[in-house]
Amino acid sequence: LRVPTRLFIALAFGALLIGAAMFIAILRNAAAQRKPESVSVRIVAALPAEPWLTQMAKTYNAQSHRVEGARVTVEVTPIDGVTALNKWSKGEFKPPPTVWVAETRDWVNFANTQANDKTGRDIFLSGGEYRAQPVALSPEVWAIFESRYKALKTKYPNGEISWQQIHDAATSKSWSDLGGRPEWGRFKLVIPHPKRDPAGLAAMVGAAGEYYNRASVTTDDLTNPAFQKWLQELLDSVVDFSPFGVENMLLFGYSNGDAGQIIESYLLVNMEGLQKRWKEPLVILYPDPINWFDFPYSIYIGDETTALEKNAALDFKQFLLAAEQQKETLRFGLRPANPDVPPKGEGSLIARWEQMGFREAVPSSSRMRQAPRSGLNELTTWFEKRYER
Amino acid sequence: LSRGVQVVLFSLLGLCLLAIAGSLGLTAFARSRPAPAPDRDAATGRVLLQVAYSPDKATLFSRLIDEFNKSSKTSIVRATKVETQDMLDNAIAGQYTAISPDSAAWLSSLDQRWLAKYPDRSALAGAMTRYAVSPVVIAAWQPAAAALGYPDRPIGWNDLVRKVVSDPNFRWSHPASTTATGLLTTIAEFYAASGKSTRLTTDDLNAAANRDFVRRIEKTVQQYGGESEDETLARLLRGEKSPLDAFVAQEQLVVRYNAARKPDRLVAIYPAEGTLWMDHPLVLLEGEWVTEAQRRAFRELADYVRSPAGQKIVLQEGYRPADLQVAIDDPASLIRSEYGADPAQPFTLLPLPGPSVVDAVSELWAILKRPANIYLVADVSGSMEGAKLDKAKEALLSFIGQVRGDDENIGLITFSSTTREAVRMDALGKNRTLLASTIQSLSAGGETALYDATLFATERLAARKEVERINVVLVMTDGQENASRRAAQDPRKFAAQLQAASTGKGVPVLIFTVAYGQDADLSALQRIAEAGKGQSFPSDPTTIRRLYQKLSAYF
Repeated sequence: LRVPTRLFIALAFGALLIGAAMFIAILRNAAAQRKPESVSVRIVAALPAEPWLTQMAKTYNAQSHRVEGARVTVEVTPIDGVTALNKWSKGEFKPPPTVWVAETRDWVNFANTQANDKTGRDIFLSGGEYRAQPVALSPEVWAIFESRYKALKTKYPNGEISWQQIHDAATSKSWSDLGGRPEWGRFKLVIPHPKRDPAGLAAMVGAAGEYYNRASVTTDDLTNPAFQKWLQELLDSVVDFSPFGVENMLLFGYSNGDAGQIIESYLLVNMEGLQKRWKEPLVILYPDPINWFDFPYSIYIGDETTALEKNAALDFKQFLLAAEQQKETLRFGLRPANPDVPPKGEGSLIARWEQMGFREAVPSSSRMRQAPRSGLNELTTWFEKRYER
Repeated sequence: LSRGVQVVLFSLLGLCLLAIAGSLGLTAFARSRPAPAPDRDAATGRVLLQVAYSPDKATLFSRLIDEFNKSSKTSIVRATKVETQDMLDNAIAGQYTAISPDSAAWLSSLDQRWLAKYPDRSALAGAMTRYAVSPVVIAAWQPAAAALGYPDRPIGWNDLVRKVVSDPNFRWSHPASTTATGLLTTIAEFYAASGKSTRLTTDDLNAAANRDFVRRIEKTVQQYGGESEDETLARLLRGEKSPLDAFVAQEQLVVRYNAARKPDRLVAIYPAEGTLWMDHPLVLLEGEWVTEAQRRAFRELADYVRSPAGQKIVLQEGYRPADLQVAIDDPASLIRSEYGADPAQPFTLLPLPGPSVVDAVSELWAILKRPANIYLVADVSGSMEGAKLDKAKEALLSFIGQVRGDDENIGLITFSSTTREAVRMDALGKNRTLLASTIQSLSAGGETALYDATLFATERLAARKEVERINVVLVMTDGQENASRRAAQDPRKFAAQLQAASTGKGVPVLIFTVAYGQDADLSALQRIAEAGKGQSFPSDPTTIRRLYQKLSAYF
């Protein structure tokens, strides 16, 4: 071929390539500029809060909310805090959910610390509009089968049930020694599995609070051999650190546990069923200091979440905190996080089961403060060595 | 440019554009066609869940799954009945989407093994729900329960131990510790041995005195029931006499039996020291092979088994429903005193030790269990020739392969017109290879001297005078007795002959019979089994291997 011909061919191919590239770029740009018609908010939620959140998501989805022109749909998946924390830590959320509603702020802080260790940045914010914010509340309470409570009150007439009295009961040989019936066997404590349910670790920290008579404990407190010996004597009375934790106390009744520290909302939603199954009521008491679960709504701010998704998540949070949705918490055994909404009203399970000892105004004076992460790690390792091997 | 060159160039350009358009079109076409999804059922197109479940609840689980598959429009379950250890192995190998073992107690072992294999991953046991629970009880026939003190006082594991040690005529059994029920029984024995009521440790298991104590109790076990509770119940409901006074089982077996209003009555004894609940979890496996669609399908299944429809099935099958809203005194419930249950019991549980102690108990049981002398008695008459004998050889080989302990004594007796001890009884650790090669070389021919062979095996066992062992004759035949010379032909006289040869000599010998194929004399074999306080099983070339595998767990 002659030189002009070759030149023509080269130019023609060049033009073709440039044209194709321009065409693709135009298409992409158009796609980018086109506003999405829908956006999805995926929430992983702590088990006690999930039923309420799922119901609220249904209501919200039915109302066709829009953010920046996009229709928002909310999907809620139940997951316990410990499993969720492991998944955040190991990068096993693929893709990561838009929002995590953990049991307490402690677990969100742990996830941030782990992310910080790896990447040097937080994945949830503690300030600003995307900050983690409680959407419901529930305390951890004592639940004791009535016949056992009466026996313990006869044995320990002074003051209400405490960890120290439970410890004494745990170290006795049989209920006969405690004034109970011999067929009840040994005293049996129920606390949730500390590695499966944040309430289990919270109960252990609560016990430490009473052991040291303060609402705040240090790593040294938790690793103190004298305390650990006392704690082991206590935990040796747990018949089974099952993954089902407190569910077992209700499903298997007094055969599984005479007394336990259990999240209030779980007891409230199961109180009717418990009456049907075991024909013996539970007595509810509020410990002092007391653990609170505050279900922080934490928007994931990693690169995988778009601004639109974050804003859609924010819109659902505002919806949850509105008075109407906060009142609905009462039907699910939870308490409103919005201080303007009182913990009483139509459908309140607290009011319904007040005769069992549930109280709208929690009588305990001090709230157990968060234990240091290093202390919780030590406590978890100690637990593993003694009860998981 | 000449016209010819221009034509060529424009043709080239046209070809390029065609090629681009073609490739774009192909891409779009490929995208529009859905790729075949690995999580779909090929026949229905629905999301497929592969779920393994423990054999003890076959009736219940099959009913639940049948109803779920009928009601769901988007999901379908393929359920597989699997023994626990196989279930855990297969789960780790990624064969299932979800599992439903007999107890959540196995889940710690599952996760430990999973994390040992994949230390960087999270636990394999994911979302769980429970749909049916049943406490482990000592199921005793009314007269035996009365002999233990029922209903005047609480009865415990220790009472049972005292009874079986003091009364050689009291016959009891518990399942092998490969089931949660069997495992619990062994744990209860260790608690009784150590005098503890909480936190059993590996030191307790290693203490020589405790091991001796457990070995002594295990020596009193009549047999280790290798059949599932569903199979036991079916056998009892067929009217087969139980050779046992008491056995360890779930409460559901007792109430289902009594609900059938049979003349004999079973009683559920809730052990005073404590027991265990079989809680039948339904567990999603958090393996990378599980898709989002399968997760949603699992939730649908979990919701169904806890729904009013699912829980009604649970009640009808004699279990206690996991949904507390369903009353235990619901009209459909079998948990009633008239059916031998006490809805207010059990009062207390035995504390379950940590996973390493549980695993150690399971391993130790294989050492401490009552050892056995087993004569495999095989028909090699002419009618066995061909595929029938080949399948029987496979079954015998699988029996030998399944027996865990090398200390179990096994021998082989073959019969046709005459009886021959093909392999002398010896410890399996010594004669395993000889047994295998002899079985493989078996050939068929001659008549069927069934009675002579059974009597010969019984006499040989009794002559060993090893009463501390379980002495078993496991006889298989495909035909009818037609060549015996020593044994009596009259069934009643033959039964008397067998008893004289065993208990008459102070050595109880259990006789189990396998009726192989349609020509076998089932009623004669049942009579022989009854005389030998054993059981009789029908079989054919398609089921005989599985039957022998199951029988390997009996002793």
